[in-house]
Amino acid sequence: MTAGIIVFLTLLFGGLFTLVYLLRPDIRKQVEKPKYDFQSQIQQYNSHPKQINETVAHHADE
Amino acid sequence: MHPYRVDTQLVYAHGIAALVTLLIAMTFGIAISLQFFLPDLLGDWLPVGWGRMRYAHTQGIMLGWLGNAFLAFLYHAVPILTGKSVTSRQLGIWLFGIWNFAIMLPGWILVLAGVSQPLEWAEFPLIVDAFVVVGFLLAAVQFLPPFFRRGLENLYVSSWYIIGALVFTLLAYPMGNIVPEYVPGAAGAAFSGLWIHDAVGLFVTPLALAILYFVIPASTGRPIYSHFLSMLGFWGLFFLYPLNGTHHYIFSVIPMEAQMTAIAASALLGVIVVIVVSNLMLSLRGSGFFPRDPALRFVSTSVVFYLLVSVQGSLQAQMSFNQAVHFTDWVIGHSHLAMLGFATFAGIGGIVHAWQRIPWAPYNAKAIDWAYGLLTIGITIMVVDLSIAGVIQGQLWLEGAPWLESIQASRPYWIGRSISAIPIAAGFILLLVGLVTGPRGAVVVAGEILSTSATEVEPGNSDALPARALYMSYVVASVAGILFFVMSVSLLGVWPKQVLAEQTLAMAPENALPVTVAEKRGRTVYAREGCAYCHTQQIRYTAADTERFGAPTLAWETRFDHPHLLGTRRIGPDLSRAGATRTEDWHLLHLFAPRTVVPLSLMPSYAGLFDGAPDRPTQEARDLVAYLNSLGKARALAWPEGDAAALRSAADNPWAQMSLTTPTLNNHPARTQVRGNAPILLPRSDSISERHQTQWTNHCAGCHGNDGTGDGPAAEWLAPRPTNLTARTYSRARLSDILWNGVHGTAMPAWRDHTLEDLSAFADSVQRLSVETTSSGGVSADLTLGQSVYAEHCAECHGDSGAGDGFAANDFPVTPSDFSGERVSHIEATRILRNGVTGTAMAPWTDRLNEPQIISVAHYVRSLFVSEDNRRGDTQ
Repeated sequence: MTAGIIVFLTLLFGGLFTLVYLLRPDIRKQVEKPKYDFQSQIQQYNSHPKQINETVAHHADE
Repeated sequence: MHPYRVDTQLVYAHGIAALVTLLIAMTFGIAISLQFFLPDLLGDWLPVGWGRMRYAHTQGIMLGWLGNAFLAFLYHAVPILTGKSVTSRQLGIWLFGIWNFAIMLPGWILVLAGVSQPLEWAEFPLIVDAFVVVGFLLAAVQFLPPFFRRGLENLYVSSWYIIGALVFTLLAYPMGNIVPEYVPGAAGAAFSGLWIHDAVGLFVTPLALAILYFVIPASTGRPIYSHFLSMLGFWGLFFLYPLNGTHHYIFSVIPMEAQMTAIAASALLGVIVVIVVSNLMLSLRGSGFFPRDPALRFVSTSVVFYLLVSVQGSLQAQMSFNQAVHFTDWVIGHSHLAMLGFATFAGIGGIVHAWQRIPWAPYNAKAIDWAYGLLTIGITIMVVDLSIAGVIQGQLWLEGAPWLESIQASRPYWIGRSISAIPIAAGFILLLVGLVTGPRGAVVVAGEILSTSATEVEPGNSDALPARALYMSYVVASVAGILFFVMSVSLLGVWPKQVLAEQTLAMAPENALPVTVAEKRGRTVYAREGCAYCHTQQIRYTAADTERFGAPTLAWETRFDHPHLLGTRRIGPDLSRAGATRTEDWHLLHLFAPRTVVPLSLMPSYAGLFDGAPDRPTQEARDLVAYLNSLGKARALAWPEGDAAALRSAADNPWAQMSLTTPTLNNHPARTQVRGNAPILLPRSDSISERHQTQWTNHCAGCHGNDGTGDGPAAEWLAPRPTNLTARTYSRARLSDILWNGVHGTAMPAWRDHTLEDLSAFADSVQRLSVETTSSGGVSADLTLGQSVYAEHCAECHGDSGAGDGFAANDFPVTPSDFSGERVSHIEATRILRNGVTGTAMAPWTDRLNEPQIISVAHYVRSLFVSEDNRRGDTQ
């Protein structure tokens, strides 16, 4: 019984998320946005590694 | 000026600490693997005992190696992911110090000194657990605020995994490490099972996946294939992982509903992992099977290992498969594939990736290339080797083969496993070499990137509505994730605890045997030395277990176990019913020098619990034997009336009914039984084969000696001493009885797990050893005198006809000899009459009988023997 509920809930939530993703292009774009943001962050880091990688780092509390 | 900084010193410090702790933990692992075929390798000094080093090995890998590796990665990744520096460098130094000098170092020292808890993946003692919790709290304070300062909208999948791991591990760790100390037996095991899987699913896997999702796009210069699939995988994993825990105790007394939940969650998890791996593999497209960048190569291999180990995990949680491989080396192969394959390769990938970007860090690319090759080969050999070993062990157990056959069959694979440690050890050493030698700042980051196409970096959509909707849905999912975790603890921990408590109340005998102080102390020794890593204390609800060990374990039988000792591996047999199976002198000798009584045994010697000899046990050894003899005793004393009473309250519980209606409570094949009901072992027509001669050496020579004279290496420590088989002639019926039922009260066990054909060969061997003849050796004796002496002094124990069934026979722990079934040589008989038999009620008779009487009665008892011909005549 519990196993059935878990299977049902997993399929329900997974299915809903997939449906929304497929049917709503705006949501789709929003869901995929972080991977492009991350790529920009990596590029930013790669372009200034020496300035970012400091032996003694600057921190929020400093 | 950049808005954030990566603290490369902390990356470096944790990276080096990771590799140093890895090498130490690996040394423990190699030492324990070698003892599988060289059990006396490290002598009998308890601090380097097998069990204690096993504790040190697993905790070293999880907290020392992977913990430090993940922390090194977090110091590199969190600032890049958030665009913010971590909270504080000072906090980082404290975290480093606590992790390595308040957790790892004292943890190892304490478990080797014998202060530990016998819980899988939770072996460090509670005092160290407190520091682990502090460590995780500091990690949360160090790494979570940058995410909050950045804002939680549009989080990349690695960020989700990092946040999830830090939050959920903080929730799960105390539950798995502290609760089983206070919730006894099977109920405690339910919580323990949750933690075993949470340690992998909520700590190791999320952080390893965070690395994979980070390193792949960072190294390829291309975004991951689908963020949607990655989020589907993230939520799937976080919802389902905690629900897997009970699959470590399938077919146990834990309620079947909880087991079925775990089985279903395990199957679903396999589906989710396929989604995750597909996404990762699609993200790797174009990089080739062996990417040029070593970090990418490590993580791409980690993805393959992740797929394999997850499919394996889902499969082995299914009941039919679980029945065949659980407790075997298959599971050990599985855990090594998870921790040493998937997680370790991800961890190395993360460290190498970060290292490449530290301008001042040495970096030896050649050494790291070699490390990759050696590690891949070594781990593949190890996992394949252990998986085959597991299948063979499982098959032999299902067939009901003698336990030692599975040990013998496993030996080549255990050697293979240790051989696989050579490339693995070389790989780890080279990895350390690769990170501490070579030119500094040698890696040009941009040169490692495969492609950085501007078209692939799409600008974010700033449409407010979908962004808000998605943000809300993630918030809802986060709350749901916490609720799912609470649900998993409720469903697989709290609810089973309640059900098991009710079962205990309903089924336990009203006046069940309490645990004595000595047994309690012995239990502590048993837990401290890691006995539960080789011997389970749970007879599962399967035909194979019931046939081999007896009635499946009921909840009330484990009610005094703080913490539980159910175990998850059987190198030796289950000990749930060890009480009343062996004698005390056998146990003491077996602990002191296992191979004297069981030549094929691979159990380590616990001579450290003795003052130099098996007959000089310390209090700890006595306590341990007291504990072993207590196992199963409470139910044995309650049985069968106790089981019948319990059955009335188990009308709606088919599993409990199965246990309560099992015909034999203790089915241990070595347990002695009262005489009778033995199959007659007919003489074999062929000669004794080499195999049977080997079996004699393997099973009998330890006590009876190679030539059967009763002076094997174990003989001097056993009371009564093993029989001199050359001085006796046995009837076939008597031999069959001894081999089938053993000799109660002596160290002579029953051999019911052997085939009748093998037992016949044993009987043939014994009969051929005899040099005893019908001649009395030229000694003149008065048979009439012997008969009258016998009637006056011997018949009350040995019976009128010499069958060992005198009216006093039942009062003795060792049943008197049956002279109708065995004829003792005249010399041996007179020796026994003069000296008695130590360890039995047979006293020396020289103070009551004169020499002619002794000679005559010896002659008389020999005349009581009924030969095979006479037996056949009687029955015709």
